[in-house]
Amino acid sequence: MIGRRSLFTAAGAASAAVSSFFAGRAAEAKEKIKKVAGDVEFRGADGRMERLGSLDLESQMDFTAGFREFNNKNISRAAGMRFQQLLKEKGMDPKAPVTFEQMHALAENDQLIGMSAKTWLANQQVTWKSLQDYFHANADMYLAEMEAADKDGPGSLTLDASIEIPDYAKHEIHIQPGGYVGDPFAGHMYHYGTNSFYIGAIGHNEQDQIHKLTANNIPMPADGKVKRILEVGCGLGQMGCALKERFPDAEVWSTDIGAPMVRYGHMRARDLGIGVNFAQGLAEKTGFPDGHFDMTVSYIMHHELPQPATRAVIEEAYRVTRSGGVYYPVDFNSGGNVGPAYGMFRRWWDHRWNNEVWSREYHGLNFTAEIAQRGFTLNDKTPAALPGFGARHFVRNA
Amino acid sequence: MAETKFNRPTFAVKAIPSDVNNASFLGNPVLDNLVSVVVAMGTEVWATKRRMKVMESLLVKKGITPDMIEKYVPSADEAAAWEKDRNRFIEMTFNALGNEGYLSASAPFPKRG
Repeated sequence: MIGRRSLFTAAGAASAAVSSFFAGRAAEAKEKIKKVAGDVEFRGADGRMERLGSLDLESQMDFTAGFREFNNKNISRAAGMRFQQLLKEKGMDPKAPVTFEQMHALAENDQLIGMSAKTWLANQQVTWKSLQDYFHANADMYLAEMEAADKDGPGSLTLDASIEIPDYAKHEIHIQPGGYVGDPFAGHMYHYGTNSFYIGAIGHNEQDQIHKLTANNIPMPADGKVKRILEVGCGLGQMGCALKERFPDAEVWSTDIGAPMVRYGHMRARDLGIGVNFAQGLAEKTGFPDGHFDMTVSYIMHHELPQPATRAVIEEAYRVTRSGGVYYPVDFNSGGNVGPAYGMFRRWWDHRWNNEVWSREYHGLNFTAEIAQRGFTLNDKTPAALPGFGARHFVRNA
Repeated sequence: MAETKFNRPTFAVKAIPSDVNNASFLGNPVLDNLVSVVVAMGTEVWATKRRMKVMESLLVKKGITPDMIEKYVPSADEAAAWEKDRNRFIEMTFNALGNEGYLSASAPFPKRG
């Protein structure tokens, strides 16, 4: 299972809510990442974030973050206004539900909407290519760094070369070259690339602010016992790390099907001195005993899964979470592929061109209802752990 | 970038590639490609500008202040050389804007003597 942080292009409402939540937090105190043996960190660190290996690459990422923000605020906004104009010309109600197909036909040949799409994607591609080129050009050094960390602690890393990776997890989500399984530096690229995404859409996350906020908002089991926590589809395990920091005495496992992701995640957690156990594995087949965990979580993973996998993951979460334990899969509000025009268009576009391959399947489900049908009870009094996203505080039934 | 050959275990598998490079949003793939070039160029220009900011900051520590840089007056030889280089830069960068582009891709050679 792959832990996927969306680029949030189809999540304007969520983005706005979280952006306002984080306003004024830029001066948050920074921790210092530790310097450990074998660590490649010759330009130092900014709090928890190791600086990129070259000034040029750092500057390129600085540009792409700025351009993304500019694009979202200006070019995309202009495209949105143009979209409304097109609706008006066709005599369509902007608030009336329409399908993806209707929106596709309406916007396909418009130059301004096309420019918005093209500039956004070009920036996305430059982001990935700059990072990939750098890490590939210095591959031996960075692979050696990961090798040195693989068997080091705190925490552990378990890779399983025998795992059959399902095709659904092999796509280049967010057009990241190689996706999460196909490039040895997928974790490196994802970490630095998503900083740009967060800044452009939701807020700063260089110090894991968003993961920490979310982890701290996830409710504990009613009996207060938190001995073991599982994060599935962990990606870099930022959520698992934040939970370990919140519950330092708990045993935390973070799993993901992408070996390069958990390798990087483990290395980073080690550098931070956070003892999370990383393992390559499928969220729908974790291999842990029945009722093993007090809390089972995921962070923005399910919209990267086809519907059968989502259902299988919920069933596995039921199996491995103890009675009275908490299940909290953080993800977008879901529910329907028909809605107000421009939102539907952006959702379709994100799916097709940002390569959010499975997002339409996710939005075609009532995700919350799917969980409730599989042995969990929703506590609907609990606000969303990540503001603007789905409120899904579930308790496993006895 | 050419495909990298790794000398260490990578734990990577073959991914299913996106087809985004084949997409055209502007009705003409050449325009799409041009936008890609402009965005990439912007990235490089900013990286250069940011490096110069770093250099200026370091120069300050060595006694060369921003004010000294702002008020620097080039010598006559420097001014002439810079102007020549500026014109080369402009021509290199913008010359294509004046092309009329009236020949189709299949146009035959003009009559030759």
